[in-house]
Amino acid sequence: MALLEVEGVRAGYGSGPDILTDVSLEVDSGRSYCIIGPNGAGKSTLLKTIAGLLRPRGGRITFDGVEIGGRRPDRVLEAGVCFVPQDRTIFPEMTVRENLVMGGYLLRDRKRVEARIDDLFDRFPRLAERSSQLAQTMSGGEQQMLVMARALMIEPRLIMIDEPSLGLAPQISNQIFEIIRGLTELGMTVLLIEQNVKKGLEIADWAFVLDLGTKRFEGSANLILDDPRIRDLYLGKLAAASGEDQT
Amino acid sequence: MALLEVRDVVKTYGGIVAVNRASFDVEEGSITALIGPNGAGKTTAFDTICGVVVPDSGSIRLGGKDITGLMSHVITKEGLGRTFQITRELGDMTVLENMVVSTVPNSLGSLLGGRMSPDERRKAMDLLAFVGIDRLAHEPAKRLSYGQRKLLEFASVLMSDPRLVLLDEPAGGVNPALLERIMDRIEEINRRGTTFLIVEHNMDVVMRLSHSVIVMAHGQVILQDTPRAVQADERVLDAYLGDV
Repeated sequence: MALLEVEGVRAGYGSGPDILTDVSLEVDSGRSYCIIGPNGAGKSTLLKTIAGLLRPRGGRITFDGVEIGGRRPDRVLEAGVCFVPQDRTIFPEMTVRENLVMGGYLLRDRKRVEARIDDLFDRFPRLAERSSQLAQTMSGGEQQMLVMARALMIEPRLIMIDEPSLGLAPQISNQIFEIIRGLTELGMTVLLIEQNVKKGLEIADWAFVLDLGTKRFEGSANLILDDPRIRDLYLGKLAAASGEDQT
Repeated sequence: MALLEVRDVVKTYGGIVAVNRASFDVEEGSITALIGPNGAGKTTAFDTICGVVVPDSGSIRLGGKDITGLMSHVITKEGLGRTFQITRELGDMTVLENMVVSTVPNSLGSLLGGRMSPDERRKAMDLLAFVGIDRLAHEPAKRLSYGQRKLLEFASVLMSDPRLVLLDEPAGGVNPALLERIMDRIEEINRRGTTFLIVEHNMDVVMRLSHSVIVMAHGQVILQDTPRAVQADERVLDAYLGDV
């Protein structure tokens, strides 16, 4: 049985139209996945819906056999699914350590929280160096490390990361990608959205291709870009009469 | 000579070079699309053309006249129209009133005085009929659906008879039936001689409507060519898929 199963999910914002029209996909434990697709495909909306930030209008989302679709975000988190959104929301006036403590609030055990922080400081030495620094004074790359480390506090079984390299310089992005690769090598299940599609696919095993609110196809991450449908998705289909013939 | 000539335009924000020596042409009578991945600099390029931001260097000419750094209302008088989002204040006004507000500054005065010239009114009603929302003319603009607002924005930009219309994502968030109507109306206005420059993410729309496509990535123009050539160019796909 897959760890995460999304079946025929529909979702949208407010009274607006469906952004996700019909999404079905399965995520197996211990593998890493990258969701790709053009702007407006519904990638972020899908992660928000799984995370409980949006209530699905239809379909089912099950995690480890338990229905989580429509649950409150903290309940989804409790189930073991954590979401790192692209806006890098930190607690700006708290220190790095305090941000991590906040990430562990579901643990409700001071010793476990401390143990988790020690563990994460081993994995993110840059954060250890800046443990008592106010989070708002850190660079974009360091803040991205912090939001990822904070998400890892509860030892999630699935981590969903939306656009981790957004707005970061290439060198810093590479550090972030290495950290994500490290998570996958530890056997964590990762569901990633990345604007730099080639980079995202490099660190993933499998790719889902979304377009107009539905999953069009999927395949091995290192082969998917060879699929001719990718070009049509990103660059559109030419009209029957080509541009040159329109006049 | 192209209707719009953008030459070596640079715009930086802090240390970020949003537009980096961008040069492109929009030919008179064309529908030209400006595309590129997120963060390519499309919106900044747009904003420099319509006077919302002043470029650090470079020049922009409309119909041969240098409009670099002019105020946006002056650029509007030079024949450039762009869509505006309907704000909350404008939402309390009727659809018809919105049509007149967005035109020339002196009509705002006549509007505040409670008058609208018969010519303005007739023209506004004709344009609302053209986009298919004339029956909503006396409704407050805030009652319009998202798609109807798009149609109102499009109709209102035509009030000033622009030579060049800049459209920012005309297809964004509209349903397929409405999208068809919007594309049809753009093509119709274009046949009557109005030139369009469109920023659009929906590539099917870009490939269907445009005669020429400008591709930006990392603030630079990497290519300007026909839709067919752009579709086939490896550099364009690479720009969308990122580098390893």
